[in-house]
Amino acid sequence: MNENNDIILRTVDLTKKYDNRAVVDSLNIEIKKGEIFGLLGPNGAGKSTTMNMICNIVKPDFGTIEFMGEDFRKNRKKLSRHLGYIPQHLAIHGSLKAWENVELFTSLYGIKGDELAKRIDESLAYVGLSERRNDYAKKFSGGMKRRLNIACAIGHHPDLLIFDEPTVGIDPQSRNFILEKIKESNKNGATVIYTSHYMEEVEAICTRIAIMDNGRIIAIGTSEELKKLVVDDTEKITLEEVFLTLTGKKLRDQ
Amino acid sequence: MIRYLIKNNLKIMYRSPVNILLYVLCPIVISAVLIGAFSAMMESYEGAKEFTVGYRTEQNSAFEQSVGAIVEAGKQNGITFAEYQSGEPEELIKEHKLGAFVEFGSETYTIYDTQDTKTESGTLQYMLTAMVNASVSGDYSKVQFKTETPFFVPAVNSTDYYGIIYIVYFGWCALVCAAGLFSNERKHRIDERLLVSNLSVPQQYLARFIPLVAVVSGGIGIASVVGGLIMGVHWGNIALSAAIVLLSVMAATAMEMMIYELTHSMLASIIISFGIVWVLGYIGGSFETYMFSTHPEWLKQLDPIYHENRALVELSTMGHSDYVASAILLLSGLLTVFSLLNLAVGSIRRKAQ
Repeated sequence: MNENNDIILRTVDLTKKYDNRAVVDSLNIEIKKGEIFGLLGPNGAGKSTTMNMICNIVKPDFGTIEFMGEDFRKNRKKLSRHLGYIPQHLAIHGSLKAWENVELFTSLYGIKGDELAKRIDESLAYVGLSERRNDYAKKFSGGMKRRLNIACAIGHHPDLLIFDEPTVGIDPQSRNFILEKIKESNKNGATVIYTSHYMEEVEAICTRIAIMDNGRIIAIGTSEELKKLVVDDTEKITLEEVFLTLTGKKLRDQ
Repeated sequence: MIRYLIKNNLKIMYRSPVNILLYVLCPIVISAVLIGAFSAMMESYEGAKEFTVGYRTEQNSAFEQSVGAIVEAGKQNGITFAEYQSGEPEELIKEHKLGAFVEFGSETYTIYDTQDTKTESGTLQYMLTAMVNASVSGDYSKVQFKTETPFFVPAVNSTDYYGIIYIVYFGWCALVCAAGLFSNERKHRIDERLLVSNLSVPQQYLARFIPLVAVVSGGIGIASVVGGLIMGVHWGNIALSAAIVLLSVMAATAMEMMIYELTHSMLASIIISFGIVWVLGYIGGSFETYMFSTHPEWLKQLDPIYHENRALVELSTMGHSDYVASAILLLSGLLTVFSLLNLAVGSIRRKAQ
């Protein structure tokens, strides 16, 4: 279906309406293999709905999602194991131990036995929780829970990792650790889609950034390219100023 | 694929102290309280084991030749027959403190009793029915019952009755066991992660259903064993009783998961589920004994808890019950229907996302 082997994910006219209002409006984006793609937008811009459609949580009203060259919705069973989703909320069980949480979510992709045990060790080591593997998740700090949240999504070695605001409400050390791990995953071959309200984070790790508003992409490019849309001298402007210039300063209520 | 999901869901439920309290301790404590409270009332059953029955035989009665055999069978079963040629049956019962009075007519017999001797008359009727059935190919072939609702009360004491009935009742309150898991899944949107992994609707259903049934059955299983050891609750046919209880836990789980699937609110689901189970229990003998209840027979026949209670109590007291088949049939039907509805509602929800 996809003629370009460099594209891992493509949406074509992706649309979702709620109460006759298009939350995502004919969205066309292409994510290249090996990039860290940042998706920015004010509240209600349609970022989460877009992520949810890509992840099979919400069904689109119109349009297609091509993943690894195939129609994702038609080949969901085969392709879902190549996708890892790290939600903004802490989707873990507090009454399970760290390793049991990773076991539960990794096993959903058909991994079992010794291989599963190996992946659990690997995932916990990756997020620095090996020492705490036998502790209940409810006893973890906010930063540790965030890291466990990530460990639960990487055990099946996905090719595309979707991070939905993974650094909300955590200390700078944990945030720095998570950002380093995202870059490490990318170096190891994973493509990353990353959403955040922290502009400096996006600027620091993303190779390409899209700004979304009212369900559409209003600007896309590297950080430098986006800045040049507003001023010629990119030294004089921050990504946040670009964002506010393009999306306006009016408060957004969801 | 769902083996690990089942295992971890099982751990989540098993680790909840509320579940231990509800499914192990509560049945034992409530049974113990009710056993004590109703032991005096239930003893009146046991008193019915030996009593005297007055009788009279019409001339040319079809029973004439068999009265001797009936009197002899009564003697062997603790029922003494005393013949009265004259007098009103109701007055004779009062005057001579009879358990019942039976008039053998030409082709039928009539049993007289009072409000206080229902148990004795029920037992007498059971005995006469057994006699008639035994000789159906002989002299008794034309004999018909005059009484419209044949009634047999098994001689059960309060220990066996409440010891069994509250195991059944708590098994029907299965949903509470899943409250922690379902609420956590909803609060932390864990079900979204399951959707991303492409877990199918039947897999998701089984991953919740199997551990829920296992934990509730395990809990009330322990309560049954402890109840048996401490209070001396007697279950009769243990394997068959266990199978019926397991089936009822499965049916209740399917029904209550279906309610949760519809409401998506744990509080609403528990209120609705417990409301339904309370009504079924009220009709089916969970509070007042089904033997003494005044609910219409047709209403009781519609109630799966009545069939289950009666089957288990009769298995305990008699070792067999005509209600075993109907209990299994009803519970299997509920399990199948609610499981299919669960899958249908789950699929519709997925499509409507």
